[in-house]
Amino acid sequence: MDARDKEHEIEQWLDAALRQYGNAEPRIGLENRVLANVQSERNRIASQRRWWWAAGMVTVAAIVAALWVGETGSGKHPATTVGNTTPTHRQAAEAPRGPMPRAPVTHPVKEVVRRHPGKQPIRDLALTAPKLDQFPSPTPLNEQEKMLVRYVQEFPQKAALVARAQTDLRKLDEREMAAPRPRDAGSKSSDQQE
Amino acid sequence: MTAIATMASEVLALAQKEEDLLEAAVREHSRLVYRIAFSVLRDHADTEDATQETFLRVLRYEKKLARIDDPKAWLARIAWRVAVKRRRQVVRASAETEETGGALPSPDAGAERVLLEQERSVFLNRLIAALPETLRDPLVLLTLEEISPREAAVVLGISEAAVRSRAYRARQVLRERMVAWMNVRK
Repeated sequence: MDARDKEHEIEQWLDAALRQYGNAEPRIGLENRVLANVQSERNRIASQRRWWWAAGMVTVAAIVAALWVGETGSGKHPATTVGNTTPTHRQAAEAPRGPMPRAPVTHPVKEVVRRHPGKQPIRDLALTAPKLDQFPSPTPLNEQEKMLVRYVQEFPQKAALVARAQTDLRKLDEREMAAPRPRDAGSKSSDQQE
Repeated sequence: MTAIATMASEVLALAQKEEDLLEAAVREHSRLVYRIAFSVLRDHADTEDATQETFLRVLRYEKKLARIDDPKAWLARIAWRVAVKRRRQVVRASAETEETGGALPSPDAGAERVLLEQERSVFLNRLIAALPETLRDPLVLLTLEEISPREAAVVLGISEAAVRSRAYRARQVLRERMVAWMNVRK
């Protein structure tokens, strides 16, 4: 066998060997396995996307709700009225009357900003109620008191006399009540003498 | 309301079309993808994993699939890259697997002939593995009957002429070394 034949043989062998080198057959069912894997991955991605969507929607809803609560909270309550004094008694609101005008009791109303308009605790109510100088709070004059005031205004001297007489009478009564009572016998004899 | 329903049905139809395209690609080209991966990895288990990974990557670009001019070359390129990346990760020597699983000789051949064939195959595999990458890749790709020099050029990102010349040069190196090895054996 000369060199050319040998080279030819090697050439042929090399061709066959290289063909064999690239000749590989997959196991049966490769396509189905690949398709199953692809489908599984597709489902996983879809599930993941759904979760992301849900999470995104929840986040957006939470942000919108927070903004809405913030808007309604600031919109429902008016601006702070510091320094605004409001009369708390009807008398203060009315015109002054008679010689004993009652001083109008005024208190600055405390501003309490409600964060939750639906719920107002009792403690807040106590804070919002005005604090009074007199307890119990003064009530308006009844009819007799009004007549007395009118009489004093029209007849001050007579009223003074009447008042003095009433005072003396009250003092006399008090003195009699305070004095010791006479014994029963003494009283009987005195009755008999009379 | 009708417009929304129409839009939804169009989207569903588009998604279905994409799914069909991918399924068709799997059915048509899975064997090619497998062979490309095997030419690089030389291990059936690794090759199957690489094939799965290739199609999972295709799934990621499923929307592009309809616009690809040459799906076969595109898939071959992805398969090649996945296999090369995997080869770098695989620690064990791929040649050892091939040593035991070479081509089966014909049953009427003599025992001595069978042994010689197996020995040659193992040696050839080692020679190919020892080739520089620039020569080995074109040669390996051209051993696949489904891959033309033009497609090999697309996969490797070089010109068709470069593919041909490098494959020719690789073949020359193999022939020279085989001749030397056979002379030593005699």
